[in-house]
Amino acid sequence: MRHTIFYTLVGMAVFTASCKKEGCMDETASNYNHDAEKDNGSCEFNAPSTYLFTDANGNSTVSYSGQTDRLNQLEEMAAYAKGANSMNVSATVLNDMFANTGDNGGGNFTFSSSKNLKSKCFVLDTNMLMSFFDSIEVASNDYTMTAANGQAGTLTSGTSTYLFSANGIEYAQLIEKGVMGAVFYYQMNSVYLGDDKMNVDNSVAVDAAGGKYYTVMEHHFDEAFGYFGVETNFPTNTTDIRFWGKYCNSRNADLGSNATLMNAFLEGRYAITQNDYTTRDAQRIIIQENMEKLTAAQAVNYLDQGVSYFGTDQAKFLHVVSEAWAFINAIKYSPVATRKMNTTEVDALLAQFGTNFWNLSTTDLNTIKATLVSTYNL
Amino acid sequence: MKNLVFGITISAFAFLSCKDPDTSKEDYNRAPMLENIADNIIIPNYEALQNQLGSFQASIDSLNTNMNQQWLDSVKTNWLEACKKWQHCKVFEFGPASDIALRTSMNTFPTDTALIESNISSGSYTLGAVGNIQAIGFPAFDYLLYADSDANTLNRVMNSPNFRQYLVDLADKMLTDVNFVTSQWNTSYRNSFIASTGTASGSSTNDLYNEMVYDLELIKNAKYGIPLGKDILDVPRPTYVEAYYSGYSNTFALENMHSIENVFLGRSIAGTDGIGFDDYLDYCEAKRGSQDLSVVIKNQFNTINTELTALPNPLSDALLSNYAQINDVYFSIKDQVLYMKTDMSSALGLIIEYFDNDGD
Repeated sequence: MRHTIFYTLVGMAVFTASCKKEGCMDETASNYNHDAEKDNGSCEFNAPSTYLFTDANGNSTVSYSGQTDRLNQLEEMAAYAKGANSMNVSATVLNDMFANTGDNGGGNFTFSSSKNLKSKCFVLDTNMLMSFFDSIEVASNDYTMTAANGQAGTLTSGTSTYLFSANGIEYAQLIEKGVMGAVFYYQMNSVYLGDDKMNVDNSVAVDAAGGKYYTVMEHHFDEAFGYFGVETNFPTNTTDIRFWGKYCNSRNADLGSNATLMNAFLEGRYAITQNDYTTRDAQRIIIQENMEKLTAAQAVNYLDQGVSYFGTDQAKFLHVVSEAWAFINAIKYSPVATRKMNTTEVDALLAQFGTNFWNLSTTDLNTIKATLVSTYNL
Repeated sequence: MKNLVFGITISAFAFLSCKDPDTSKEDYNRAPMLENIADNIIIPNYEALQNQLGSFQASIDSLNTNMNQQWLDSVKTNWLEACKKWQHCKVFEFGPASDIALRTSMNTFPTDTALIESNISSGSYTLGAVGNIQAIGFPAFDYLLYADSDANTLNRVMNSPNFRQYLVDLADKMLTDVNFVTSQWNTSYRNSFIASTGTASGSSTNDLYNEMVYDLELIKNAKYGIPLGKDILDVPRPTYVEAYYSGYSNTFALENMHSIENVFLGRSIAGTDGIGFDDYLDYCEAKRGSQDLSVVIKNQFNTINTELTALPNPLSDALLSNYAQINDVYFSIKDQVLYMKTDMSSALGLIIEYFDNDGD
């Protein structure tokens, strides 16, 4: 009872101290003051906590179905490639899936789509990925064999069985992570968040009559988000995550990457709705820098695992080293303006793996790791 | 009513014991224990191994001038002593040792004799490569020095430059690896080891505890369980024993067991009892039934050591002639794993962080 009286008195004192209470009077602002009678220009607008944005009429302006299609395509491609541990896989099938021949991956996808992965790559990357398809086909001819140095085949650890080439390389990982880098990472960071795709119209809906309520700029930013592989309510939702979203969540404990990246997507997209390009640019740099750091950190994690599996578990060793190689390879798709390593430096680091993973030593892995740790302050 | 009284006693006991994270176990000052183990056990044992490997390497290097029986005898003696010293270091597979996977590099067995022969005949190999893990270390020497008669081995030494070079390269790699770990301990790592006095994941106490238990499980599984065929309906695999060709399997297992016992007791390389995990358990008043857990574990070490000493040699033959006797040792070690893995971890609030991959 005494407390109530006290608070009431204090409240009255504050209220009566000014004749007209000033504050933010915009109901959409985060600091909207219900009691304010005079707007003092203090309104602050915060991005929403989920990736849901609407126009003035409440129509959703978010669309990235093309990215979702490509994520779905890689999911089915990767599943097919990993099947090489128990069957012959065909480079032709992988090529059809990669190019999405006939809009259904040559009949190998469970769904149809007009989108494809192949056209989103540089020619050099296309050649690299297609050589991986050839290599996995060759290795899978020996899926009944036990892998050894110079002998393609499978090795098992626990419940996992992996197919390795004669040189100890798990091409299923190079294919999956290769596309994650050459398409998803590259398109997100260097294309859609790049200047060319950001310096575009942000005033009119692309085709309001056709249901496209977004501006060109909004759409480009959404396409970048679509390659992240998370739901609109990430990181509250860490169940429905794929590809980069999955690895972002894996490294979250060390890097705090979930909040950093998702907040940057939310703030950046929100800034676009506010025509606030300074904030948008700050946020896309956060995304680009942190995607690169996340990729390096995931590679380091796999290299550490490689050292711990060295000599005790050949299957896991070759598996995690293949993963590490592929994540380092993805670093080369980072935008020129923000990257910490250029493509030559990435290639030099990849060269340290040699061409035969059976020849790798702990010294090799520790040396590669040291470069990443010092470059990215990990 | 009796049950109720019993329940009250138990809960009162739990409150007083170390099981409550807010009570005494957190207060235990682990720094003196870590200091004792680092200065009186870990570093002196690495230095002893380093010295002995130095002698071993020197004896091999002298082969160009002395390709005779005396040379072979001296190499074998130095190898045996170095391998015994190694058994006292393999438990410390964290920090600098785990950075270079020392344990697998020094002692992965059974060795791959075909791979060794192919390396020798080609003369081209990267000994540090993961693909050569079964062609290096003590087990490779076990094969190269003991698989054939001394006369034939000497004959090979004299007639094959590639064979001689392989011996030299193997010994060099082992010494290089041990030099690295020893020098890390003697420079920066010792202080960071002692300064890490917590019990969380990655702390020195937790590293040490995990490796102590893991190494005990390695004795149980790799040195006895797999040769006993525990995973294949007890069908013995004599060729899977450690030191198959020289026959020192039980000798090395006993040394290894002593090393784990020394860490547990905090017993120095000179045999002086210091602060170890037994004191830590006593401080926490850890019990197994009505007995002090530290006493249960000490007694079990005595039982195992007696049983190991009594095993017939070589182990590869004994697996066929004295299976039951070896099987008993296996189960004695298994009991010790239970005490040290389950009872100790709950008494001290330490977490086992490795997973048992051997499928046993």
